[in-house]
Amino acid sequence: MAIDTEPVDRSRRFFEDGFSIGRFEITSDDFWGWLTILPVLALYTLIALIPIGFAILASLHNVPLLNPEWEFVGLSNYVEVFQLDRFWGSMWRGGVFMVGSTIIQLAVGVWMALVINKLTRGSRLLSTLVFTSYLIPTIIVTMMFLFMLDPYDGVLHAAGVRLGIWEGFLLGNTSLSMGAVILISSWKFSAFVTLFTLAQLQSIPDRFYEAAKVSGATTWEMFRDITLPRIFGAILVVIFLRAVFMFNKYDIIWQLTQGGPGSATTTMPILAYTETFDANAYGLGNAVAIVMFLFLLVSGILYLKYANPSQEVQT
Amino acid sequence: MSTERDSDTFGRSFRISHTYRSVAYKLGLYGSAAVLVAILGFPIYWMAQNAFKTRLGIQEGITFLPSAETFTVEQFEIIFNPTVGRYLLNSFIVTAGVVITVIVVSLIAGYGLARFDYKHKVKTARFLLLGYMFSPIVLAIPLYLIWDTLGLLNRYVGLILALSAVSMPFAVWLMWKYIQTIPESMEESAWVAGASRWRGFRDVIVPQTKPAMIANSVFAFAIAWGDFTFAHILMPDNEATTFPPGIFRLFHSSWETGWAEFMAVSLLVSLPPLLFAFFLQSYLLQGFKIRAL
Amino acid sequence: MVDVTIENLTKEFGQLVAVDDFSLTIEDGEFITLVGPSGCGKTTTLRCVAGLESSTSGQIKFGDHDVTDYPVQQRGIALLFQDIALYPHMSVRENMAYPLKLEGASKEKRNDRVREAAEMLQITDQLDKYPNELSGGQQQRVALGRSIVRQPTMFLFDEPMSDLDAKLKHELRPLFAEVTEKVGCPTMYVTHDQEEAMTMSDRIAVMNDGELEQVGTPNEVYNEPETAFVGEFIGRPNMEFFDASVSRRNGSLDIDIGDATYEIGANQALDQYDGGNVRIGIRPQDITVVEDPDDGLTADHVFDETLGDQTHSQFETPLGRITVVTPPQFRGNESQYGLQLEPDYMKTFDPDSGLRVD
Repeated sequence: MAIDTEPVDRSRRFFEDGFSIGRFEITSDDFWGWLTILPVLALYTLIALIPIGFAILASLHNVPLLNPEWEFVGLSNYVEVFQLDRFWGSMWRGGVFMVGSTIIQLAVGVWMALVINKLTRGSRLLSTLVFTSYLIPTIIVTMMFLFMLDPYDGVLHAAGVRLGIWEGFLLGNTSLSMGAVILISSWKFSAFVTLFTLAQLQSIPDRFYEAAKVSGATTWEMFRDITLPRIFGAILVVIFLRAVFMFNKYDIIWQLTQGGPGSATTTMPILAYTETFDANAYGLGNAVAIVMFLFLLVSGILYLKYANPSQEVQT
Repeated sequence: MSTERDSDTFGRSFRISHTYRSVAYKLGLYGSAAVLVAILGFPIYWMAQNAFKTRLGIQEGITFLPSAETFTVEQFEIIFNPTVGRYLLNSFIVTAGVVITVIVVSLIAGYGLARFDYKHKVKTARFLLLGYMFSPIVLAIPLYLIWDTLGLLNRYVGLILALSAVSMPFAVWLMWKYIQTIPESMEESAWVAGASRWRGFRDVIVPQTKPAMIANSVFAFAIAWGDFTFAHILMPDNEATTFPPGIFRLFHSSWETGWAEFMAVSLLVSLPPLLFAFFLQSYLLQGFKIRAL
Repeated sequence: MVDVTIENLTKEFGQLVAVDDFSLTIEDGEFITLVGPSGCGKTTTLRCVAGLESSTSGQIKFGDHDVTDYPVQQRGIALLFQDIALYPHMSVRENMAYPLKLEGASKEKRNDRVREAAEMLQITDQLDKYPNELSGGQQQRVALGRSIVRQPTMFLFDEPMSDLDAKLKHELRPLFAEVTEKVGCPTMYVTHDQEEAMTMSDRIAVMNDGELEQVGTPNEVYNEPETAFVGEFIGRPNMEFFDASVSRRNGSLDIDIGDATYEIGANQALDQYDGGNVRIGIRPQDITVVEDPDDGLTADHVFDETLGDQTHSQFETPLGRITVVTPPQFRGNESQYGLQLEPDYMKTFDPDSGLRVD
């Protein structure tokens, strides 16, 4: 093998050294770097930026779903939304759902992570179940629970009635249905907290515990002084992520109750859906969606600004 | 705990409380594990055992296992029902499309983030993280009319694009961090040997990212296979929709389909997640480790 | 096969000048070691020659071909990396055959060449294993094999042994020498270890702070360092330096080091330093310890490091702490001694530029 004496392709210099447009110098790394990230950015633009811009536009119009004629109505959709009792009601119920399910998921999720991390035998069985609940489609979870709560053939229904906790169909019970939806959601989504925390727990080096044992620390002291500070950052991140995800949860509530009975489980996502597709008020539905989006945006910015996940969770 | 067996007099006065504490600890640990296994496992067990019962077997009352008279595998024939079969086929196609898109796009973007030092790279990466905030319901409502205008409603490609975008922030971050762990000299030694940048990427980088690709595929699979919101809104036609909204509609419209059949098809649909959970859990946990960064 | 010429190579990273006006010719079949402290620009120089970095200015020629603009793929070089960089997903055989596969060589040719290389490196029984099943030394052999399956125009080594233990280094050194000899192309070996440089090279190029300090055979750079830096960097224990003043007496020059005076006769090169200062460097091997504290430099013994075949003794003097190589049986017992410097072995350097002046 000798040197390849073929003359150097001049266009190659462009890839190596880049080029410049006016004052803007574009190095080869810029060119290739942006080219590789371009598909992702295109996807983001198509699926997130354009729809949100479109939603803002639609929220300023009166759009009957079956009629392509848009009528500009300014901010009146928003005015209408804020005057709707069911909007404020759904916001309150959404808040209850978000706070309730986040707290339960956090408690159960961290508890499960600590147990799996300490188990010497049988941890594979438990972690398989945790992963299953994480990976299993939501519709399967709702089918299982709807079956178990069935007033004629359901095992949970029978147990609940026998113990005198409820009568009739649990999800048809105005005062209990929200609690039931929160618990069923927590069955499905606690796994996220567990996996997030477990990953953090497992990346604590053993030598920390060994050093503590040498200096005579008890199990509790080791948990308080090593484990807890180490997973604290991860827990903050996970609380934030869960709260945001749960505030936007549509599928599991819709599948279980469609917002009912009455409006007992109508959270904001449910309201946005029914306004759009059942009441045929596309502009109004978009206005609700934009209100939700603003909530997300503010949380997202606060998150990136203050929580700085990449620093907090570093090991 | 290793001091329990020591028989020197020095440790004697501490022994009893120590033993008690250790017993309480073990009781708490294994008690917790048992409770958690029961809570997580019971619904799955209940679904599985009822999938093997006749309709009459379910209606006759609650039993914890099918009896000789009520045992049957007939319920699984529901997948040959043309409607349900169609839903499953649609789910397969969409899931495959999402997994392939996510793997390819995340590999390219992850490689770019790891190996090129371009302007505003860190800002762009943080911007990608905002993708965590994508809410299916917020995006699906405007997308409905956009897709309608573009003629993408009820088309696989429309749903595949939406679900790929939702899976992307995590997949790209994972791939980025993973490729960073592969020494640059690996690629350089391929270039020295005469490989082009593309050839080096293909021969040296891609085969080594297998664990990250597996984790990405499973997470993308979970999103696509389980998605209800996007499919429900963007695939309104019964012919086009995937399994989750499809079976939901069937559940609310058909009085002929019994619980046993629903449990049977649910069990089948849960099988891939169950298998992944059992066999690939170390890859997935690895993925979460990087996600936490 | 051809000479490799590097002319006025400069590499800047933004404000930082990593390599500054570097020129060197490596003759065909010659083994040149580029040695210097970390951050001196030696690896950057190697990466420019390899084509992994593009130079800011200057030329690199393989024979008559100007390859400055050639990408790494077209230069046909062999390069051994510090972290070995074997592909973990390929077997040893596939690793070694990979360059041939890229060339499009036939299967028989690939097999033949891999077997040949494996025999030379005594790794024929390892061919079907994977890199993670091999020891560090075996991995180095495979990496070496991978780089010689095709005849390279030039052989480059980027600190390939810095992660290995001393025993393995001793085992691999002759192997590297033997293999490069057999391949017969120009070789550039980069290391921060002066012992490696001394033992393996035809010539040594010493770099500091992006600049080439001196090029010469191992004997030349050891015995006749052109700068104070080279004197200090090459040879262990380190060369000792003293600030000294020069004065003229009866047409000959005297050098005063502390309270000792050395007569060096007439020396035109040092004339300009008459009445001024110079730096004197001398190797610890060339300092003699005498019992009489008033004979030469007065020194208090501090402690001995016994090495078996010799002893390194440390002394405190008015001019600072000094290491002296003493006979194996020497025990200083913290008493006072005189240190005599051998005038013949004293090297004189300019106190500001560090250049050799005698």
